[in-house]
Amino acid sequence: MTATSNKSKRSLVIILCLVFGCIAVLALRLGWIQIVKGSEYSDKAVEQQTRDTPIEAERGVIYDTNGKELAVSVTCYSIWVRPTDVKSGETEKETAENIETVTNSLSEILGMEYEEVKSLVTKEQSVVRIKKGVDKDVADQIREAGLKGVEIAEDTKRNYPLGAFAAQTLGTVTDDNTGLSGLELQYNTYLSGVAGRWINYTDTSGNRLSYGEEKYYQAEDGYSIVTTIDQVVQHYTEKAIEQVMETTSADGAMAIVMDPETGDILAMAQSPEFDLNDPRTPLDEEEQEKLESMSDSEKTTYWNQMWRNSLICDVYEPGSTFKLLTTAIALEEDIAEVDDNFTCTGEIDVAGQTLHCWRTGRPHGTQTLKQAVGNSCNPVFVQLATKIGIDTFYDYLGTFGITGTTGIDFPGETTALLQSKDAAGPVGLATIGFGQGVALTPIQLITAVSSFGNDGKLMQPRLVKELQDADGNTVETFDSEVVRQTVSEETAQEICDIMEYVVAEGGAGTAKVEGFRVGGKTGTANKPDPNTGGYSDETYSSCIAMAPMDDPKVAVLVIVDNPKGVKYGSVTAGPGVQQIMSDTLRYLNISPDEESQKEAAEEKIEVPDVVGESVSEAIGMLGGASLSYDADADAVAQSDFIVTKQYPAAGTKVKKGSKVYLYE
Amino acid sequence: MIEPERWYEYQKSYQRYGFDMKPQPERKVRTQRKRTIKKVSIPFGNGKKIALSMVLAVGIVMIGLIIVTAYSANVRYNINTVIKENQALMGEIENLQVKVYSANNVDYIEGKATGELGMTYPETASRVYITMEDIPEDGFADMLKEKAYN
Repeated sequence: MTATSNKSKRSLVIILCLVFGCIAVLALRLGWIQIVKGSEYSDKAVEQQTRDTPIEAERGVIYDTNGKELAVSVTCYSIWVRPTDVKSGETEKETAENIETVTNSLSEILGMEYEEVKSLVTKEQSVVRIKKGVDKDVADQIREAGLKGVEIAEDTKRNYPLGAFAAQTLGTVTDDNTGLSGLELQYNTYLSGVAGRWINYTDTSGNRLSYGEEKYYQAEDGYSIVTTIDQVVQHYTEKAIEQVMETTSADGAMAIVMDPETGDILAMAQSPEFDLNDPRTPLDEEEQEKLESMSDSEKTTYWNQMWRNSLICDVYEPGSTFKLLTTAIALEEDIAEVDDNFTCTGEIDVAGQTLHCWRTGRPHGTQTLKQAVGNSCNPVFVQLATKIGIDTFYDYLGTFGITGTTGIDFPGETTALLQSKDAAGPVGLATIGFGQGVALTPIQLITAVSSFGNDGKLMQPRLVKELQDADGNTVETFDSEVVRQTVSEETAQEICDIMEYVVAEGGAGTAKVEGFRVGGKTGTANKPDPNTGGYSDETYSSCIAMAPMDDPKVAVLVIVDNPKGVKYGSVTAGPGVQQIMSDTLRYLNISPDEESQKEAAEEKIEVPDVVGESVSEAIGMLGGASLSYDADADAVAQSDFIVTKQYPAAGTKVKKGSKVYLYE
Repeated sequence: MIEPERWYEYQKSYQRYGFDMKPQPERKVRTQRKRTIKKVSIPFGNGKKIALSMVLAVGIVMIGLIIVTAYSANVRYNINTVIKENQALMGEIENLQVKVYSANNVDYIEGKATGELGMTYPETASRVYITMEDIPEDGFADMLKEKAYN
């Protein structure tokens, strides 16, 4: 063997050893990766490729009693921007051009301010949301624009097709569709459902890969709730409230319409209201300006007040409407009969304190209990309350549900403000007897009075009657509930008769509906003055009514907060009740009774004698006779003057609806 | 003599000498076996051709696998696209339904009826209420027909 061939052989061996060495190292490395670190890398790969997408459950729909949609969930889009992508450019000029293009396009398409969009687009953040709740048309426009760094994500938002409709009752949701107030909050557990999951393998763009495991957990859509609210009755009620606000220039007005037999709330309206699709913006422009100047905490307080359902969550002093309860207690306890006589001297002394009748200068004189209710004579009710006694009176308040809550399915229900028995004393009891010194919620009052129209049975008010699944099948029904018997059937019937008298001949004539037997009572209560601890000149003017009185199907309560000008319940709230009652009875196809129809068919009517009556009483009496009135508005606003002259004179036959002029 | 008889004779003859003269079987002498090589004829020809064919077959299978995977990915992509389009359409349907609900608003309908069409709510005197007792025996259709063509 030659030296050269030996050398070559040695070189080959060395190279071979090197190659084997490298292969060995690679093999070791491979073994290290595949075997030692295999499970760790496998887990990381699974983590990277696996996408766990939550499947949002569809929020249930809120229906009215006839299945009309009041609140639905719809698909919308959110516009996101990646500032780093927008600002990416090879030169500064290119970067500025990109920013300008994106800003101009977005501000034009989305209708936003240029500066606002620019500040968001150039923010030092990886992802910035420009706008949410965008419609598909707008999203398509942005998509077609092909803007750099702009992404569109699908979203869901709550939509209220009717806008500002039953706003405080339906309530609002948060940005992530969780109930925030009203029925949306009360029934959030049922409405929200259970979110699902979709676990799959995806690429970096989020597209599913053709291999790999996939697990899909179906989302359970939320149940839909069917409310007792009737869209048509709600509309009539809101229309009436709007009319009342216009006529009285009040701070606010509210109304409830209830079925006395079942406790179903047919309508619940409040003014001012707000658009549920934009719950943070008041409808009034002046209020909008006022809101803009507020601090964040002030805004929060304002919004909470705006969303608050005062019919359930706030109390008010009912005034004379409360006299119906006092009368019922007196009749039930056999303390008085309907035809018992009482004398009003204009004032009454209670434990050394003089309480005046609202007609101090012209006392009512001798009157029956029925007439006393019609005249709304305070001293009579002081006598009744005193005779009933504080223990019995408070027991009955508990029976009527005044000392507790009604149990209505709505969040934040408050209880009445009632003096304790020890603190009230004889004077407190006396004032409670005619509806002052006690504050209760409107829902408590209408529930209690509705029991008279239901043979004395107190019903639990309800807003929701059933739950449905996504296919419309009923999954749960909430039945009407009888809470207790408040008074006997006989007493309930007597109260109904008294209420009918008050509308026909008493001070609640403005609530009368032609062709129907309507019973009711008005009230005008001074509001407490928080500064002085006494009472202010501002009032809560209200009217409560039921019809038809032979078998009441509808109960209506209208409350006007601080009406300007004329303050009396018969003038401010009475017409609102009349309008709601008239529209609702017609819509519900409730037939008038024959006698009322005959009366309504009479073309001519005799003008009643209102000389010597106060103007508020005169207005009520004329309303009961289906006549309208005309008087000096300033004079009426300044005081409840006594009518000295009327035209046409009493006894004159005039057409129904004619005007009677009243003079001071 | 047969074997056992021979063995007996041997025992009798040599027993007194202490020899075990049991006859042993004859051992055959092992001869070397010749290996027989079976010739198997391969239809593919020689070794090189076999390797080439194998590589070709595996290659075809692999390419086929790639094609199937690509097709599967393409189908998955199409499915994803259709799903996205479907979701977009469902969203559009929801939004259109909301517009329908808004248009069916009682307030809007009343406004159109009273404002544009001049419709009014009937007065109490203009309303006629009927009950089951008021329905004639022959039914309303005949009565209306009679009145209409009177």
